Amino acid sequence: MKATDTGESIAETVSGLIRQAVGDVADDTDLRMIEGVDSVKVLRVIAAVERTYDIELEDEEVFALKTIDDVVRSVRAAVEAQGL
Amino acid sequence: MSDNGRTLHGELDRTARSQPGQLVSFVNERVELRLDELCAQSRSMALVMAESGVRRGDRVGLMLANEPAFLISLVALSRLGACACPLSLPTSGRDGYAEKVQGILAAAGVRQVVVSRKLARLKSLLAQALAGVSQLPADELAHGEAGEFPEVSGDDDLIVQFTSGSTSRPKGVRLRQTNLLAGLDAIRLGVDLGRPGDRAGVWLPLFHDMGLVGMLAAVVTGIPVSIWSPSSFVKDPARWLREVSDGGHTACAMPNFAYDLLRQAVPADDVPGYDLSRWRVAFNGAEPIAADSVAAFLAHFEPAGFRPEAMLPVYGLAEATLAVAFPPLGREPKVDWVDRVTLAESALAVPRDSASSGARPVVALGGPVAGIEFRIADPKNDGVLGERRVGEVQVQGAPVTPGYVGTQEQPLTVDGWLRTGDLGYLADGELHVTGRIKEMMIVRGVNYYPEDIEALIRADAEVYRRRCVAFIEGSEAAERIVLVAETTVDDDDERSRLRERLRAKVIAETGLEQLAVTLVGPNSIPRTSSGKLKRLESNRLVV
Repeated sequence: MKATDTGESIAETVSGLIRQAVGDVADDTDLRMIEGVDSVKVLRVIAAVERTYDIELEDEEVFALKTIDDVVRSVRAAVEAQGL
Repeated sequence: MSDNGRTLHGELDRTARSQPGQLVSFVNERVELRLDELCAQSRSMALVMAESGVRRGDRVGLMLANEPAFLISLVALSRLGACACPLSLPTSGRDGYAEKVQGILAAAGVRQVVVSRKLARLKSLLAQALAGVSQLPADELAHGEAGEFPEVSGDDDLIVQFTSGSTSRPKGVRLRQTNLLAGLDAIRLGVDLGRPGDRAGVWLPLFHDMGLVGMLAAVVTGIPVSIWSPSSFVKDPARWLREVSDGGHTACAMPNFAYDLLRQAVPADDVPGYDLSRWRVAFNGAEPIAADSVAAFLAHFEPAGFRPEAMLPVYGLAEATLAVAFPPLGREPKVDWVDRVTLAESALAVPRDSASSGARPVVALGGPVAGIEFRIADPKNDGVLGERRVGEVQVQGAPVTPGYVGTQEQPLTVDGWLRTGDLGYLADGELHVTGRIKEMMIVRGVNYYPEDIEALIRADAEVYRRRCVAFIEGSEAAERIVLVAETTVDDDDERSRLRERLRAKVIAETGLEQLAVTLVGPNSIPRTSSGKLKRLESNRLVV
């Protein structure tokens, strides 16, 4: 749906969705180390991101995602791959 | 054919001959595997495995997701008379994964592990987890051409199932070919699997016993099976339910907490948009069954046509190749209300009115499945106990394991009954499970169930997501029960008020004064991979 989004707005949208769920954290904070955030919560946020961009990230890729920066990078790659 | 000649691949070959086009669908992978393809691919994989040195009697690790390679590898190993050792997959970065896997590989004497292509990006973690063993990449095992297969006996081990080990280190349960096939028969007969229109759905991890044995029961019966990744359920339970509804699935299994997730994921207004009327077997097992969860699920999904008699609270364990007790088909869940104090202090299940404050609900789990016998015995001397007397659940029969791998303590009594470690009683011929022996707490000669203490305070508005655990601590002279509860309350004064309130509530109901309350932040209480709170490991939270 937003395959034409610029890299900038992917970063904004993704970090917005994540901060909405886990609170105001830095782009390089390890999300699973935040008190109150468990792997179910991380999965649910990733699901919201996937729905927004109509993409599907592999579980094993999601496992390796630790920070907002990581998620943004993966989403960019997936959106680009979809645009091809 | 004698039972000793029965093998997993033999049964599957037979099913595939009568229904070659029956499908196993891997939903997230978008792969549909025909049974004849499964048989052919498992033959070629077995040949490549043999070339890689896999021999009859070898134990081979499976580090595979819910993907076709899991099923194909298992059948391939069966053809070789070798034994599969399913390994859990990494789920988060901080759970000591590599050490856990190393421990399992050493315990089982595994030298080779089939590894999913999907794990390629986790090279460094795999290098640690699989240090010292050789990796067989699943996608390179597909091209065997021709060769001989050994004669495989029903007595050969087929699976070593490592249990999630809520209360202890993982144990490797040996399951022979004959154990597995008897276990599959028990499930098929217990719910009459294979009725016209039957379709199974599995999202539990295949490395978990309930996922694996449940899936195999459906595949060997020759009904269509849909397999999802566990994360697709957890990420979006409502979407999963939509696919179950649209696909007309009739049989799915999951633990109690997953029924809670489904109820929370689908708003009441959306429920009538689902059609759950064809779902005829909803197994609820693998963790204690909460009567209130069951009732809430039934009420919530009634407008979707979910039938109360489809909810099947069951009991089983990996050591019995899964199924032990099933309620009769077509009966709504039944709850036995008993006196909480007598249950704990006198090990007697005395019926009480459900409305009285001292009553505890215990969900009825039915009678023994085909091939299984169970008894309630005094855990101290294994003497058999009568109706409504609480003791250890002990199990015997063809699906029951010959024992654990290695030299550790074996789970059998001298007269050959499996010790389950679970406490329970019989009433009207049905099994009722009340707790774990190891978690039972005795203070000054009085018994307490952790479940009872937790139930008293779980619903407090300031306890985060009902999460709390009780366990015993200290030496014999100074024993006390510690209650750990998660909360988001930050303020010191409010925290001490909350501690006092929880303590007062427990004392008022039980008279237990040797009680310490500890508050911790959300998600601090350790949980198993399936989300169960680990009582006995929570003592590290207490300073």
